[in-house]
Amino acid sequence: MKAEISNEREAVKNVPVMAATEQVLFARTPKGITVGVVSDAEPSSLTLLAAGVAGMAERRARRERTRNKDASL
Amino acid sequence: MTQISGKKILLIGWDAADWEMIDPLLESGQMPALAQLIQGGMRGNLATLQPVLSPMLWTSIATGKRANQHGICGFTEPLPDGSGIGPVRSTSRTCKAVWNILSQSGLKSNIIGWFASNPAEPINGVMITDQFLRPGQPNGKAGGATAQGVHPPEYAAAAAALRVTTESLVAGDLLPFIPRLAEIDLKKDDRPAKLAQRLARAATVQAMATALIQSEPWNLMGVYFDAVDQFGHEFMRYHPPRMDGITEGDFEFYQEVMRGCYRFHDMMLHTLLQYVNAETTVILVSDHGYECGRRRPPVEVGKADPEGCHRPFGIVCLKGPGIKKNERLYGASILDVTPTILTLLGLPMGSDMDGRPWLEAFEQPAKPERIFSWEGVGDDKAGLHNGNSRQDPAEAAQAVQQLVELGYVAAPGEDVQKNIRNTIRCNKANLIRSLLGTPQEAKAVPLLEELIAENSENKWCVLTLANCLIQLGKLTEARTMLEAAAPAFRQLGQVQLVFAELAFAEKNPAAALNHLEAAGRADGNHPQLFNQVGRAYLQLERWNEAQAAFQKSLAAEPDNPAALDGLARVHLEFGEPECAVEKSLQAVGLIHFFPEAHFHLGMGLERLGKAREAILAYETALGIGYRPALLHHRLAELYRPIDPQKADSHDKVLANSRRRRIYRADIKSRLPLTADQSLEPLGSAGN
Repeated sequence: MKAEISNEREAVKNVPVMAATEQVLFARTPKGITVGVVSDAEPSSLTLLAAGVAGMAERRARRERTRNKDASL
Repeated sequence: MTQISGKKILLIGWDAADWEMIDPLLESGQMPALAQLIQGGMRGNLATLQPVLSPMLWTSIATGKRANQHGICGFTEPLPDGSGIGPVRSTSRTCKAVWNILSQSGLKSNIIGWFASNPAEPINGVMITDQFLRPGQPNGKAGGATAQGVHPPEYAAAAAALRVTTESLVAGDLLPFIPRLAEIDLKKDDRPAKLAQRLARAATVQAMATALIQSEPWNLMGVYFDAVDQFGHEFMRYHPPRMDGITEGDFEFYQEVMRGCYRFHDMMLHTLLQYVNAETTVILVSDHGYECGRRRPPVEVGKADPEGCHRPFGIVCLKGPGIKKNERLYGASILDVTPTILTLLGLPMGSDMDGRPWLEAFEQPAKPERIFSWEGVGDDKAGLHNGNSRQDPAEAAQAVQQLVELGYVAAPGEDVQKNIRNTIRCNKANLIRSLLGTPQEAKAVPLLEELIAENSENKWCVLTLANCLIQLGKLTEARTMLEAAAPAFRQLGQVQLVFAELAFAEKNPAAALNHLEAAGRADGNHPQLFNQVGRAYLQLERWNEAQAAFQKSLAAEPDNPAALDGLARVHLEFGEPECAVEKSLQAVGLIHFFPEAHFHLGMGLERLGKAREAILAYETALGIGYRPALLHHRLAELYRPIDPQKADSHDKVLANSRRRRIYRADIKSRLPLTADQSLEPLGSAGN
């Protein structure tokens, strides 16, 4: 718990490693578009959720990126 | 990563996880982390206890004791100040949990989300309670985030920061469960929101677990996830094949939820396993299973009786140093988890524990140490509560509302005193159910009499008391009680089943069969009824009919130890010992605490000429309380050529038993006959 903040920093480094072994592919939409997919480049948001404290930082970072992108538009 | 020296155990709880759901996902490669755990260790069924209610079961897992010893008897209990009812609390537990035993032994535990763990106990380690995980309220107040929910209290703020809120979830989190989420009108359909709440809670547990596993030293890390059960109560009805009463549209939208739930748990398991090394023993358990196929109760029945959706076998996986690999664990019970953990950590188990360590899982033979009891020893270092602590009635009411929404408890009414009385009555009934069929069954009688004194019309209490009296050999009392009931009541199927049990006890299988047929006409056939019919035919020596009855029972419920044992007995009579042994092994593989099945296994093995294996089976039956003279006779005969001393000891038991029978018969012959005895059926003479 004391190490939470440092864990989150570590998390950013660790997440891609975990994601590479996950290869989550849950379901397909009726249009055949896969969802919940883990690409080598970017883990799905659900994978980050399953990664626990390690995934929290990346989820926050993604939310920030989305917010900034929306703002710039 | 801070660590202390010594052995380590990661105990993961998945409430209601069931192999029937898991196995197809394993076969299709959709649960790779669990597959890896199984491949490197052992897997098995985990027999549950009655009643199949999670707070009682998870407390049994954490203590190795039944409810009559641990004191947790339901989901709710009266608040300490008498102002209402609230979720069951750790202060109501009447014995030590494994984390208390570890604390007083100088070992550290980190425990997250365990049932009935609030307020947090001051253990050696960190505890985050089930109530601390409750989600926030719409007014922004953080649910159960009080200091009482975390030990040490100064960790509460850091733990609260790890809470995953429902609002923080994005559509991408839900799409794997509901691929057509975009087509659902969320203003009219609250099911996606319910899924999000359950997912957020599971993610909260995972966040806290992954933080603690790295930052705090531990010997035991206990992490409990309730999501499989909670997803099940909302979404199992949509799992394929489509059930009657489920629309095609709902089926299309929600049929992936349960598979997604298990896959998400596998992903979380994968993460947790990244944080432990090969020297850590990993134990994954569930407290019971969950009907997922054609035996699911009808939708409305399942909503009204959530316990009816539970199956009597959960899961267990075990992997670690010194644990056998890629093998099956047979006959395990939830009562065994704590004795096994203590043995793995080199600590003695209490002789007052109801379970046993899984010694057969160890690569090297081990003899566990025992002490009389852990209770009353080293209490000052065990991290126990000093006294009752207060519970906020408003927080308690909110927690109770969540249990109401799940269908686990009835909605409390306006009358506080009535709610308290109902809760006490319900918990007493649960305690009675936990005693039935155990060596402590006699303790249920005064409790039943108390409930009947409150309400003499309570059919369940009357029938249960009659059954208890039969099991305790008080046959005349049981018959008097049943025959005093109104004629219409006596015709009910459940009552006919009790009459049948009484007839069996009176050694009158023909009468039992008549009552069983009446029960079938009243309530329809079910596996338990088929088993009883098979039992009657066995006693009547009508072997083919017995076989047919047990086969029908197995067709309706494949995980059915009583039917398997019945078939073993039929095969013994047919002179087919190989088939008998196969069925007996299946029976004891499902439930270890089944002494008759071990005895019949011994008989089959003996007829196959496997004397040493037969001795083992007979000794197992003896060890779990089965002591008929025939068992001692068989053991004496088998030991005679290999161990005359042991043969002699069994001969002595037999001789003493004969002497006692002669003495009892002599005393009986000197007593005047009572009216009851003069009316006893001829078949019961000399019993």
